[in-house]
Amino acid sequence: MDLTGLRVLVVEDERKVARALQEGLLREGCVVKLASSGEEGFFEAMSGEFDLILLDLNLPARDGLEVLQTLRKRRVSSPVLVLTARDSVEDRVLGLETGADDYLTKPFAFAELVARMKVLLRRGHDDVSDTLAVSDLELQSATRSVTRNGVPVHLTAKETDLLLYLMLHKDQIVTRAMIARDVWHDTQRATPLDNVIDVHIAHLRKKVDDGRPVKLLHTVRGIGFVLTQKKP
Amino acid sequence: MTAWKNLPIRIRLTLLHTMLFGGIMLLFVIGSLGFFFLYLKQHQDAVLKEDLEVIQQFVRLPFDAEFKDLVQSHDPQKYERFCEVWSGDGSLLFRSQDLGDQALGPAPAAADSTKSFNYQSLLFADGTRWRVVGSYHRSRGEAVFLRIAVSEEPLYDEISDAAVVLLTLSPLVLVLVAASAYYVSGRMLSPVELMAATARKISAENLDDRLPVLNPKDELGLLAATFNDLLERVHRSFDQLKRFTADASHELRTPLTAMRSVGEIGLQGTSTESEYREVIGSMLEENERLTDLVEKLLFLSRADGGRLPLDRSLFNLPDLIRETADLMGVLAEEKKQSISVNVPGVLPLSADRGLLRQAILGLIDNAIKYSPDHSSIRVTASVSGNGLIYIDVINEGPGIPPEFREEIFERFARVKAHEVEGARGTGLGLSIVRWIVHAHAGTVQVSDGEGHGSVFRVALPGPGNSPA
Repeated sequence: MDLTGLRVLVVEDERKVARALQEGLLREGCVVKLASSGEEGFFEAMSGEFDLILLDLNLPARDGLEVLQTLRKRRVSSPVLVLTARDSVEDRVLGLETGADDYLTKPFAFAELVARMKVLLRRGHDDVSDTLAVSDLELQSATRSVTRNGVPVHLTAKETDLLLYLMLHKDQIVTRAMIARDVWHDTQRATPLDNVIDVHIAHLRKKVDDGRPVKLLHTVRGIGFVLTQKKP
Repeated sequence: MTAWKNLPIRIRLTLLHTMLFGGIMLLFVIGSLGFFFLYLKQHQDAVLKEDLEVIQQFVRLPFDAEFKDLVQSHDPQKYERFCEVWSGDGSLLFRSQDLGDQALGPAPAAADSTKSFNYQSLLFADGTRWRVVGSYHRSRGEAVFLRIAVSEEPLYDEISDAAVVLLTLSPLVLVLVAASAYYVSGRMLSPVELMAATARKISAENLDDRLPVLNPKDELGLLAATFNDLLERVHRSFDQLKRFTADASHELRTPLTAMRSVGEIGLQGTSTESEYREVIGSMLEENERLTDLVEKLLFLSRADGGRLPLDRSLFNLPDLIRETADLMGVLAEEKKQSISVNVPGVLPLSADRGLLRQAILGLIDNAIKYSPDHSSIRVTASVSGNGLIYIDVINEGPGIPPEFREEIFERFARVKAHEVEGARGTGLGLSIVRWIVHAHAGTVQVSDGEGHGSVFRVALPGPGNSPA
């Protein structure tokens, strides 16, 4: 796994959320330290031994933004991913200006968090090879031609974009929100785009998986989709 | 000053009025007394001069009985008059006996040719005030200076009597003025009391109460009418809010209930792993629904709060429409519907592209949802004669009865009669569309299509008449 061995500090006062994050990150192979207040988070972060900090903004004892500001002043340079339930543009801007590297609005899908973390750490898929493959499904990135077991599969442009994205994130769950943002480049969430994505996935699945003994494109109920040869 | 400000307006008006009136009255009294005094003095001087001229006729040296009689006679009916006669060289020739040592003035200056009258006021040793007039005249070729004096006391008495009368009366007048000012201001302010009393009683429970408008033409009536106007608007938005809260909690409860019951069922007895996965997945789906709903509510509340500034840019509207129709095409295909786009090649529009895209998406989504299978949806853009830009989304659905055409744009409003099986939305889509269009100073309306179906028409100000 990409995140194996990563030292992560989670500053989050909501116990359930903190535990869930810890659990999830442990499964990803991370080393996780929890801090439940701004004060505690600040002192942990000051030790400087973390590769990444997940920082909630609404914290007791010390506001998340303030913690972040002080950390940056003290030249603590670990990347910080802000988690916030405050959903306003100003907050986002403020967060990024204060020195946050990225933000996620609560509620978020864990899959999305992992994807963002990978982007932040540049451990993602910088190395796009010429041929992407999942099992016997192959995509030539130069010609965008797709074959399954050597037989050409004819996809529309959008379906190809979608498949490419899924292949880049193979074995990982991608959410509709991630697809909307990265494939459709749609930042607004209050749109009927989810239905559109579902239909495209259905089309893609039909072309890729129909009549094959091994299904590759799976729906993970309530979360999103995953392209994998393993049974999810 | 704060003590003054703490007084009720009625008292302040009364005091102010009384003080102003008192000041004016004082000026008036002083002025009229002064005027009266001057008048009396002038009159006295005129009479005195006449007397002098008469007496001058009788001054003959040596003084005869007639003269003495004239100046000595002490008739109580007549007013007292003293006399002094000086010769041209400054020696006293005659002085009224009653005067004793009291002189009516120094020896006169040497006679001159002018026949001037010399007036002066004199304070006698006994404290009485006298008016003296003197003048030279010629008696048998000799210059003789005659002075006569009359008392000024009656004059002062009259003035002080008048002053006493006026000053005794003025407090009474002031009291009357204060009373009438108090009464009048009370009457003028009475609608305020009434308005305040009514306003105090108005609360959330009786927001339909209105303030009394006693005279719609005066300022207070206008004020009451303005307040009523305000109350009307408050009432309306309060109703809207109540309805919205009720609807929102219903919409929020539905996924919450689903989550809860799915979870409870899942925990009953023992299940296989795949069954548990099913349960958790189902709960996550409901969570998704809830998230989506909250997202939309947040959008609208930010919009209501004016915290959603338009990011205007100039772009080609037909491109946006084609792009949006393209995007939604797959959804239409699912229902075997077709979307046809009929737009001019170029139609520039200055608007927030992202928001307008969302609005068009919402309208097409609505059309797909509420139109039957195998029907067609048309999207057109055109410029009207008066420069408005029209975007029409035309469906072949069942149409919307006129009485619901406003309501469908309200939050959570779904026309029950037309709820189509499987078409499950949040009921916020069209109200988001309306908000976006309104934010661009446009309108969105629904009307009957040709034959059947509905036309959703968005009218936006064109580049020519767009608000700056």
